[in-house]
Amino acid sequence: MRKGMLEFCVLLILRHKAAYASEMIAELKEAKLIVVEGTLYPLLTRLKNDGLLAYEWQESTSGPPRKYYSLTTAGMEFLEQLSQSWNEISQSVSHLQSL
Amino acid sequence: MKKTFPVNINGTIFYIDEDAYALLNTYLEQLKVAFKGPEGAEIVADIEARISEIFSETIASGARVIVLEDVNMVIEQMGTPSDLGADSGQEPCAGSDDNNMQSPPPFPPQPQQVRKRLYRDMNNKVFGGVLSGLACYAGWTTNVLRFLVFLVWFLCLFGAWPLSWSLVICYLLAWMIIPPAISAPQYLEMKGTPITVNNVGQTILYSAWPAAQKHARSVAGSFFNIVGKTILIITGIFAAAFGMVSLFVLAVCCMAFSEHWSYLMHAGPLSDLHGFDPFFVGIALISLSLAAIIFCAALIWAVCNGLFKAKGASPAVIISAVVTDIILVVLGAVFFIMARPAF
Repeated sequence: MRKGMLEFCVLLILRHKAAYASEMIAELKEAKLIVVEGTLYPLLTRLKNDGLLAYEWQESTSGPPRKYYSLTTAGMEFLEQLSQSWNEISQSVSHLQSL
Repeated sequence: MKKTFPVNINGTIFYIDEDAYALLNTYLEQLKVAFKGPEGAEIVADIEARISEIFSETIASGARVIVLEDVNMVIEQMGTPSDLGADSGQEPCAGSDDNNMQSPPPFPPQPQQVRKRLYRDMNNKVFGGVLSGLACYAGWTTNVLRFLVFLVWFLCLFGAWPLSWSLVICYLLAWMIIPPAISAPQYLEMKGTPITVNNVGQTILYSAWPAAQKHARSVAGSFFNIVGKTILIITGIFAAAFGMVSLFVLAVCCMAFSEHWSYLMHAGPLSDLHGFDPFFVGIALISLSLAAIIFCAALIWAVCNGLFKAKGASPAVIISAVVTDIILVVLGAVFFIMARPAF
């Protein structure tokens, strides 16, 4: 369940601003969603190949250039769909919980 | 003290210990096996970049060199290939069951069938690891084989003692001839495990902690090990004492020979040998003494090597010593023949 959530959460993190992998890892760790960091990279590559994410290289002040990921328009639309179905699910679940 | 390399990880130079480098290299190789194709190469490059970042933080926090613990920590943090493989294997997330979610199945390459080879098992040895390696090769239980061989030796010792000592000589010969399993691939070949990146990695991990090996030993195994060590030490001490005493005696003999040569030739015990030529007998004795001196020195060296882990002789030294020894013995024999009285 948590593993499947990861993609949704990555898209959510990238909703407002572009980020590179370590920033995402930091946020995911804060939200206690990620155990091993390595999981993120196959996921990012997959999302990118599906056209939901795009990246560009940006120079960093320290060290080599970094890959900054951002949502594409397709990604935005997909995120909309995901948010919608998430809301539906969470409504159903909270409805059941409050019974 | 460890050897250190400079390595370039994603454009940044780090100094890394040799063992840490081996582990990191293995880890990245494993990832490359797990993530194949151009997509996989990108993933591995991203992970490498992240590792570079983590190491940069390590260096920034005051470390000078990347050590084994740092690499272990990074691997724990990033996850082993099997962790990552398991994660990308079951991915369908809420509402995303479109056609887009197929990940590369991270299976290791087909293990090819390998031929077992006979090695001496250096991780589980009593004397030289001969029986242990043989048991590995034939698929027997090591301790049962040890017990049987000991039983046969012990029974022969009373029944047919030449047989039991030829058994010992066979063991010594096998010790010399059979190569030891030192590297991880050799160790896998000995066990008949296919040499894959994963297996080599595990063996490297296994051999990186000697403590883990000690724990892996059974009670019977450690019993044999202790008995073997005791026998080795006692034999070694006896051999060393014998070697040193003989060396001393021989040196004194040689000095006496050169000091009192003319006395020995004309009036001493050598002058009356039932017709044997005292000159040739003297030379023969000297060359035999020299041969014995070389043998004693080699014995002492071997004992030091075995007991105190002193530096072993190089093959060139061993071969030239053996050749010199044989030449001296042959010379001694020839001189004795020449000293024979002509009838």
